[in-house]
Amino acid sequence: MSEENNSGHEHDEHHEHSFPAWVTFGNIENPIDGFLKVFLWLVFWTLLEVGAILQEFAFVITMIILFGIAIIKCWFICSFFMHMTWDPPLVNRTAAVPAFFMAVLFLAVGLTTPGAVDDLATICGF
Amino acid sequence: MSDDHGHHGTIAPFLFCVASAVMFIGLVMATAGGEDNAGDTGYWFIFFFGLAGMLTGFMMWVQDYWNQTSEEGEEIEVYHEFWGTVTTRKFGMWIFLLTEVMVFSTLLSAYLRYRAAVPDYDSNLAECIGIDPCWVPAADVIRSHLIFGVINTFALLLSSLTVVLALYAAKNNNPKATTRYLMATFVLGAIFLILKLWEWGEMKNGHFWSDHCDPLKQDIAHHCIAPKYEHGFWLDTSLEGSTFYITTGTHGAHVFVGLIALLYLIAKANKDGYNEKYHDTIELFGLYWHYVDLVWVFVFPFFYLY
Repeated sequence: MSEENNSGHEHDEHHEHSFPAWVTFGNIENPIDGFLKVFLWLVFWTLLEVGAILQEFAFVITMIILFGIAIIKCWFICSFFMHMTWDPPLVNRTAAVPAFFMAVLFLAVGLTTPGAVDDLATICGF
Repeated sequence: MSDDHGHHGTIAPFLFCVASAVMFIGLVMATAGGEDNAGDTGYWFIFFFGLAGMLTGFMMWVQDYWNQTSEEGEEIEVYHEFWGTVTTRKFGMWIFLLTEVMVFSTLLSAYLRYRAAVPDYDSNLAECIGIDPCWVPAADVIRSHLIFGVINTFALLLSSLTVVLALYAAKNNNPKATTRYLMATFVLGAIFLILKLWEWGEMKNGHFWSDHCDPLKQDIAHHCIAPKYEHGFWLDTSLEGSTFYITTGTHGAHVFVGLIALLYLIAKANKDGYNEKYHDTIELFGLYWHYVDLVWVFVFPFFYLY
């Protein structure tokens, strides 16, 4: 392994140990503790999600809650479990491509009213 | 690539992918091809030909990596700083996940599109009796069995954690712990699939429909959902069934593929195949498994909760 590669891995390992303090409720020594806290966050958001749906809110409120919590959980998984927080920019930018595609599909197709997709000019604001 | 490098690439993934495409083309044509779309049995040959090629590619792939003990693809790191420490394999996995996101985005946006276009069953119950355009959410059908969906959610989240723990155990030269965590991941994934299949069986056979149901009253607590599902909720019952089973089925297929990959990882970890210097494969599998978890994060609320 080259010298450059060695330094690269050391850099990577160093950053694998750093979690935001608000995620882990303070500084942690072991990265495993950090991942356990991330898991607990995910459990918390899931319980909140199920609890929220039992309240039978209006459609718009329900969609905002479900989308909001799904995106938050998505962020936790991508950032920490998938190591995107510590990966080089190439990974994040690669992941941004399908995220953009997904957002376009959801907003321009999934959540539009019937007939709206036939009028792309209106969707695009022309 | 230098001559002393451990691995020189393999044609196996290419063969696997081409054969998979042939297999699926054969499957589609055999079941829905022909002039009347009733299927052309002659295409079963294409299907089995593709299946054989796929299995051959898979076995070649496993054989190529079974004895590998060193990382590969590291040489790409020196090309440009933008690449950081991303290896070719890891970048390839991200490209693969990129295409996978698009697959599920299409399925989920199609579902949302239907939900936005068709009025819900409970919003105008009397008018919906016997009329197809009313949407009965799968969530209402499942509501009395929601606990299994919740258990599945926790199983997948926990399995994501165990994959991370397996990776760290491998990095710490602890093969026994690596094997144990991978086995835990397998068990959790298997629980997910078993519960899913059981849930499908319940819905298909209409077990949520009670004998005391009043067709004019939606009473989820007592398993009374909608008259049109009196005899079950299945793939060809309605648009609701199609969207539900295709989306959750596609996701389930991904979990199944993950379990097959896990069998390989467990077997290799069991012979001390992963260590401080070689744990790349677990990390790449982890990316795939987290992605499967990620999809469920969206499937669960949209099909099980709302």
